[in-house]
Amino acid sequence: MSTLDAAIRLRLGDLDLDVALGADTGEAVAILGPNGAGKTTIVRALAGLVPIDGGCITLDGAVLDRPDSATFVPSERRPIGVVFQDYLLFPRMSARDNIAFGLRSRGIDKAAAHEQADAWLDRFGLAEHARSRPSALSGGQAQRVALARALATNPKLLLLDEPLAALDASTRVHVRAELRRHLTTFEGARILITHDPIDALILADRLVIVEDGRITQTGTAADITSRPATRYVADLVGINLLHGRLDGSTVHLADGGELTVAADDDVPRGDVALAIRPQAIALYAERPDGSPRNVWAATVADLEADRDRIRVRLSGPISLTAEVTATAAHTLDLRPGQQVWASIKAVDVSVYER
Amino acid sequence: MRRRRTRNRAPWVLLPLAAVGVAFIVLPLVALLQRTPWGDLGRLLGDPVVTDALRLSLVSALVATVLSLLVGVPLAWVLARTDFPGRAVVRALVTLPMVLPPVVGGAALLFAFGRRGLLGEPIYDGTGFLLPFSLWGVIAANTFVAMPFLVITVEAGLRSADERYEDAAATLGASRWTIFRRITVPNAMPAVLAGAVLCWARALGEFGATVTFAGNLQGRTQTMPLAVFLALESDRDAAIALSLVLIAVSLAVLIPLRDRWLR
Repeated sequence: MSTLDAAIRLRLGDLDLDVALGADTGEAVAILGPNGAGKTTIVRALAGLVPIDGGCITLDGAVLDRPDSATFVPSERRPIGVVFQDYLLFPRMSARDNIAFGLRSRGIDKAAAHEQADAWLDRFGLAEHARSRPSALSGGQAQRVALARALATNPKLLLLDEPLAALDASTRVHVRAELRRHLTTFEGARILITHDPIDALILADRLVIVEDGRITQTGTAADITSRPATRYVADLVGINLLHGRLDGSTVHLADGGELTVAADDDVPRGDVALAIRPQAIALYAERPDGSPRNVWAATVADLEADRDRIRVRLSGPISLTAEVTATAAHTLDLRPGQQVWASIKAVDVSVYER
Repeated sequence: MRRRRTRNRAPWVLLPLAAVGVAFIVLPLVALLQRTPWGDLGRLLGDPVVTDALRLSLVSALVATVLSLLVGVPLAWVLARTDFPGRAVVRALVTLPMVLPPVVGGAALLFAFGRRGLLGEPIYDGTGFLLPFSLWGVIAANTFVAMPFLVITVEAGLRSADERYEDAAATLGASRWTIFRRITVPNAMPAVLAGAVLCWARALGEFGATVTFAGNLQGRTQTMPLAVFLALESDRDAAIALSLVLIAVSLAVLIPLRDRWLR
């Protein structure tokens, strides 16, 4: 049985949204799309922050919004938790009070709400930050408080709107792995909004691609990778996915070769998956100066022009696809069979447990 | 350590103009100090006229501020967050007392709450309570004139507040009242405090509406500004002493608060 079943038709300014989506209990669905595609509006509609113009939203068989029958359950009575973009932690409350807020709003007395909030803080490794104001928390800590706050009310559906967008690149990898770990403990359905395919691949079981208010493709990562339906999707699935074993800060790749990564202690050593953006791989004619740790000699297997960018398939110790500008490809005089030096920064390799 | 500053260096034309602005406000105060009969000050300030007026001023301005908060904050919320036909007219009406000569406001209050007033007559006939020429009359006049300062400040604060925090609270199951109490008001607190300070300051200096509506009865309705005005006719030294007290009280409140909340 589908937990969430939503057909959303909504016009808001320039946006003309018409999408149908669902999520089962325990399933994580990523809604992936470019900025302005209507992703946040989907979250707002599901959460009851904006009524839909047409369609129907049901959760566990209960109708939440259905203009046809003039049914609208307001936000405060929907069993839906939301982790907002920028987290929106209440700035004048401590981390504990933020988490206890939903419980207090449901009439649970202060002592009991604080006790439950403290249990969440413990579970998310935030015990020592119970009294901290949000402004004193790091991005990753703030995100955990936001997640705990959303989960504390025991929702049937969890919505995450760009949960990693507020973080800088160096903490993203770490927080993403952590978020994945915490999300697996949640038993309800999850809908994750993101514009970052790596977030979607790592955090979701199924992808829904939304472009310009319409769904252009749905499926598992494998489905979509094998048959990208649109240009946008084709760009997304260029991401390199590798497997290997993590040992210290080195990943021994399943197909040979190794990469140094910036995995922190939260990622268990052992089998891991790696995601690398083609744009993150730099190509050089000569061995680059300095000592970036991930430098290897590769052979250009194949070139594929894509407007002003060139996708370069590399063979050698590590098979990867890089992407460079046409200008750079011209300067490097890239052609099949040619040897180049490839490098990638450790922080550009996203590591997550398999 | 000296730091090089690049951003907040004023364009030079601003500085003399800013100096003229400060001088225009400070010079009359200096003149007042220069005329002050320092030797007699102790005697003058002990006069019951002064102590009565000071007590009435402080009490009436404070109560007027509390009353303004009580109805002004909800009013500001309605004006900032809801849309209804005629809202523009209501907003204009609410700010009218800021533009209206206070004497006109006092007269209008008499027509409303006086013994023969629109609302005053039935109230008087029913209960014998009479608003004008009492401390409550002073408070009513102060509130009428000062509340708009609170309302517009809080309304602006609410409009600039990030409403998404209220959305977040709603998804956590908070009722509208809980959201208002625990999210909206705390987030707008700087504006609420700023509005309260402005409102109190305006109430403290209120003259026209008070004298018209509440009269000038020493010990009952004679506040500091009224006492100053009366003393200017009879005892200039007493007027100066009263003025000094008013200035001192105002500065004592404004100096700590101005930088923090009235930005």
